[in-house]
Amino acid sequence: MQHTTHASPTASGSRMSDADGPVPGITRRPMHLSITVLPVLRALSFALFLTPVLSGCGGGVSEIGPGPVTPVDTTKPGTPVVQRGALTVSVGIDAADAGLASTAGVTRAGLTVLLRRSASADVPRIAITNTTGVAQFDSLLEGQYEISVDRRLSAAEVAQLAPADREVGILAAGAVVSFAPPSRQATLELVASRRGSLVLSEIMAWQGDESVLAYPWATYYEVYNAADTTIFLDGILLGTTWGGMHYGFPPTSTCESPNLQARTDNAFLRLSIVFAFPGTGRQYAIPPGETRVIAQDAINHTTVGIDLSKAQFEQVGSDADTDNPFSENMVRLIGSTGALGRGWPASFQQSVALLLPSAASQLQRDSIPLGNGLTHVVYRAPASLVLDVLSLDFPAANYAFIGTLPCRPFIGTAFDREPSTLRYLPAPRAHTRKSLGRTAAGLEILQRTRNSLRDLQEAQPLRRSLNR
Amino acid sequence: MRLLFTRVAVALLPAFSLFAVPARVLAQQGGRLSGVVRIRASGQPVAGATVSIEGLGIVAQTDSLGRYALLRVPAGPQVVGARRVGYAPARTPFTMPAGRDATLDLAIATSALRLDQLIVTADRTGRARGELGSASVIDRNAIANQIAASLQGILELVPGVILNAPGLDGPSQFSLRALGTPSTGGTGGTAGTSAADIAASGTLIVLDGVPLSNNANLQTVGARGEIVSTASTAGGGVDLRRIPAAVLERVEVIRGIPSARWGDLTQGAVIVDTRAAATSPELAGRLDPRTTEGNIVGGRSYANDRQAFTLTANLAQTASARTLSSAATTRGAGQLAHRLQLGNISDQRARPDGRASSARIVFDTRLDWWQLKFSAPERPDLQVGRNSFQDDHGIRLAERARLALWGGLLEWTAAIDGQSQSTRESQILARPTTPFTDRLTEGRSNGRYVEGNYAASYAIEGAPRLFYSRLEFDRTATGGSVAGTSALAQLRAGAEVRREWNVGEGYLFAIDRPPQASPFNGTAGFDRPRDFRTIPVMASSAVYADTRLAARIRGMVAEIQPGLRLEALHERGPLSGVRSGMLQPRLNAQLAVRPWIRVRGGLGTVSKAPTIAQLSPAVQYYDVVNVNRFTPDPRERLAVLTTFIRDPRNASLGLSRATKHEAGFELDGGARWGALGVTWFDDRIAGAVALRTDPIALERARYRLADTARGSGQPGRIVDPALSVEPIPVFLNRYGNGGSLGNRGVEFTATLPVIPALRTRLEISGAQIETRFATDERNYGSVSGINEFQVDSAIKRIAYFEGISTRSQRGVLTYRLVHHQPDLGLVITTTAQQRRGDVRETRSRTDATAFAGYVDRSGTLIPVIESARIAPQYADLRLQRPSVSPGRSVLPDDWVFALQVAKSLGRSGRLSFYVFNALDTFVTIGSGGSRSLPATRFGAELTLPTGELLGSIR
Repeated sequence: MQHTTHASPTASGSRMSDADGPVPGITRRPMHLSITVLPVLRALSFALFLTPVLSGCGGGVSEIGPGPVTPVDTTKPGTPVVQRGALTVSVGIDAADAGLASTAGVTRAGLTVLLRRSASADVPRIAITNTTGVAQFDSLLEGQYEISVDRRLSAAEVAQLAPADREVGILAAGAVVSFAPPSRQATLELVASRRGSLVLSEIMAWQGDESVLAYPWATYYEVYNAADTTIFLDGILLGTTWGGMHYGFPPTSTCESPNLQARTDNAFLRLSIVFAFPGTGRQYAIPPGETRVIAQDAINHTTVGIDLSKAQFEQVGSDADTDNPFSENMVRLIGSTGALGRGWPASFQQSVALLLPSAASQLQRDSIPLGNGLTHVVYRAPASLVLDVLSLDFPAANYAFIGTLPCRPFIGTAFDREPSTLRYLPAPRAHTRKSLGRTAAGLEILQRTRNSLRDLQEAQPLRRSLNR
Repeated sequence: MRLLFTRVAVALLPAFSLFAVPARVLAQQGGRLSGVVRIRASGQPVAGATVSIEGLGIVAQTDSLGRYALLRVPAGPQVVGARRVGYAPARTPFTMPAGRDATLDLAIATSALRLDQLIVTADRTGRARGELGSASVIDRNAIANQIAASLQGILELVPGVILNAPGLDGPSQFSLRALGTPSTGGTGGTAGTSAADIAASGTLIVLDGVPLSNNANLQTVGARGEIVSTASTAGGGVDLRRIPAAVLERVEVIRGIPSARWGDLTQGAVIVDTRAAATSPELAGRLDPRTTEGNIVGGRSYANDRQAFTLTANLAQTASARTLSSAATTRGAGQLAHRLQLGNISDQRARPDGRASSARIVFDTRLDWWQLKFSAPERPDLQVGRNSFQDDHGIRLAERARLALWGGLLEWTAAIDGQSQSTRESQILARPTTPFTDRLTEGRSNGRYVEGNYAASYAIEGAPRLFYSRLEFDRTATGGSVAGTSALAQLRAGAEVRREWNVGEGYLFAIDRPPQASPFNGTAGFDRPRDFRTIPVMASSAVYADTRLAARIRGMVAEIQPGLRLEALHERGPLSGVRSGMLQPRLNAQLAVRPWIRVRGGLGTVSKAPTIAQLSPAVQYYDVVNVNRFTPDPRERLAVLTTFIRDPRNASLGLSRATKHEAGFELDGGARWGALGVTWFDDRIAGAVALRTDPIALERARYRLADTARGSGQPGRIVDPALSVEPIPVFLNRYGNGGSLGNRGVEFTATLPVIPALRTRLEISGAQIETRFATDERNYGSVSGINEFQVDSAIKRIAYFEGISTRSQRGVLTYRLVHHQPDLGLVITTTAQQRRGDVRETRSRTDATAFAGYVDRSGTLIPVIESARIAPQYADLRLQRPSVSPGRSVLPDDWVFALQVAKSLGRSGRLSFYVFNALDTFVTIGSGGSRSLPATRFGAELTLPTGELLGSIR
């Protein structure tokens, strides 16, 4: 396939055009990096998302509290001891699903809350909520904790639901909190899983360390038709957020300001890079229960043992980027040609979204203030046009690499409540959606509770698609 | 340029004539000055004392009866110095009568002033031989008391130089009177020449009368290198680790305006003399946790002292910090010196010591050998596949022949210097699958693919060569004394030629595993091997003349030293046309109002030639991808690339020009009153060689493909002619005289009066230096921004920026407290160095209208005037200036403390213990800043006079 330039299928969309830009109809997002991208691999993640604000940044502060500090027990003479404390978890039900839960007989009482300490081999602990939905964990050391609740519905409970709701197999909630003694409270809200239509089923993200995964060109997105009818991919958008939006860079930028509005807006999703599936309307069908893979480079990546040569779609950034003629090229709408013209690798520190084709004409230029007098240009997409969202964040153990701490939430809770923080692994592992079973027609049902922390698990790559 | 040079040469002739006039008028041969050196208190004669005429290099030693004789001493006011280990040095003003000999007995003190002979810093009132500009003179005593492994450590005695632990860590270059400055950012992934490199390459190092040179050092892959070697000073100054401290006899650092004799410098000159005389064999060793060093020096004379051989050998190794690397640097160095004296000057009467300048012809021959090896083998726990090696060695044969002729001295100096430099680097590179070509000529060809991560390596095999020759005539003449006024004129004129080239195999690597391909974006080029033997030689020549005029008027001594130097950089060899020439007037003046107070000043012009790498940079390759069809079936893949070659040589690149100014005063009250010297300086280099990136345009052709059916097992083909052609903007790195470097500040040395009761003396030296650096470099933004512009035809233009400059400022105060217990043979030296006000500043506009213009896709620079930058059509250019972080960073004030305890062993043996940065772990500094000092280092040095142990060999 010859290289496709980034002409937009909806280039005439006036709302998408950049009034100040040099080329009307082209929605290129200027990326001006403030550091030299050498060595390329090590700096790539910064180049992708963070560099526009790095020049004025110092250390980091978590959005959900100060960093862990070991307090000293001054009540006892002699050697100081490490304090322990209590974490109180209050579990609720998302307002949109309250009726469904009530119908199924799910209450806040008797829920099993799982507590797992990040970056630790500690045995997970559980606690049961009381009648008010509160559970407590005592004698906790300071640290990062992942708390979660999975409330699977029994067949009897599902049977009580309205027919349209019977695909819901689970209500789930989860969050990562920083805990420091003596106490802290956290709140979770259960969200019912919905099948959706076209969903992101798997992401291979570049982790950017010194291991074999320093090779960033084998990343991909996998999409899955969870609906009962064929979907045409033509014109559907695949977009990612700007990583800098999800992080604070004190002192110029904190999680409270100035990007808070962008991160908590449930009406619009702010995107930084947007591709569209090629086609003019009905060229690229995806039947129910099938997948398609969008590779960064549709070749056999022998270096990391991932064969993407049969990926149906790929990014081609420039003439230097290998072009598999049997893999369709995605159409670049917003964003540059990527690092050294090789396209953009799927990465941590970002949210990924699928949007309806009509979103292309409704993207609105916006900017996120950086706190140092500068802004970063993004494009707003209406929530009503968003099909699916997943978010990935580095695990806590890798925050040192980034040099700062993430802000919660990443994006509006209507899109995704918590990014996934799967463990950092020395071998290529994909983030894949959990399976909740199959429909009567045999279609696999993927967990989709608008919470990437709960919906994703690690897996061998491409089990649903190229390696099936 | 040739016309200009001819005109300048013609203009010079009268100037030479001017110098010649006083010489003819005043020409008379100098007289003989003799006398006895005695102990002031007892009147006992002192054997083995060194007596010299200050600033003229006329030296003799006293015999067993304390007698000395100095020959050809010019008539007129002179300062006679006498030194002997264990005694306080004496300086005695004296007027040498014209046309006859004279006698002068000298007295030197012992006991209460014994401490003063322990010079542990540069001589605050000394003068470099034949020089009137400010200088730091470091003699053997000071060298022996300095904790140093190489010349770099000895130069820490110069005011304002930062202390470092002794060892061979990293390439070591010396920038006189200059600081490093923040990077100017570079452009398009290239970092230009740094201020530190410019200053270091402009600091001339002269070893035994022959300049060293780093001009032919090509051991670098340039700024675009992905696997970078940091083991060489390519582009900067001479790596001083090659010169062991233990073999040094005397170092003169001409900080001010050098005489016209010295060229190819912008900062100053370091004149190094190694130990070469009949010397009792001496074995010395050093041991500390990271450095081990051994040294042997010995020499003997025979044939009634008409010949002398001296042999020195040095072996040292420094291991890098264990926590970081297993790297180590090893040095071997040796020198064979031979002096042959023939004939006698006709009117020569026997000198008491019977040596040196009584001969009519003196041949000094030096054969130097040195080797520096750096080895950093792979540490898999740190980085798999990373190896780094550097092996530099060289041999130099130098000859200085001096012939007493026509009442003067005709000196011919020549040297041939051959080096071998080998750099080997390897690293595993992470690489996307990339279309690749190794085509060496321009044109289109089918390429292949480089796939995935691979181990890349390269070698740079360089072999710099230097031929240097200088012919100089030096004649001193005196005028008569009239009404208490006497005069002296010393004329010196000479010519020198220098030829430098490199015969190394060059830059070598496996062609299918390119070591520098990371920036490849479909337009940038892959590296190609380069044979250094094809690089043209560089040659320069110069003629010079200067005179030193002195007059004594009513007790005051006035001296001036005007000089002229005409420097020429040739097109190729020394006989080829002139590429760049420069006339360099220089003037130093001094007035000694009284023997203890001198005021002086100077100004002059100096120049520095570009290096071979700058004169003949490698051609730049651009490999433009036309087709990049990567099918799953390898047989069907098709990569077509068009190679473009652009030559970045700059025909107008020439000498950089520096103007130097200084003024100062010296008060010398001896051991009783102390001494103070202060010098203000302002040095400015215009036209320093700097890297500039110019946009140019290439073309990318698009083709229709044929025979590309899937399953055909064939790669298909392109169909000519091209369907379309589009311009691609690329960037070409060129060296030009676009840099400006300014250094100004003040230096001082102060020696407080000796405290006899405590046998203690405090010396303070320091400098406050400010360095400003700017280039005409254009900045086009971030690497990624440039990359996008090149590969994305939708981007029609990008902004460019100009006017970045940097500034550094630092104050350094060094305190040396010397305590002497002569009865115990104990010397305790404590050194504290304070660093104050260390400021690094980058200045550039960063507002939305900071851009100077834009580059379009045809590679054309289109400036936009300031007032027009707010126009709507430039909205896309009004962005914050990328890749530049203007601002000011201030390092917290800090200090380092070192201690050395030395104990005399026998007559000249010595055992010393030292601790460098002794209080490191106990020090905290304000503002939570991090310290940049090397870690604490302790060690011991032992010097054994093996000759005395085994009996005298003389």
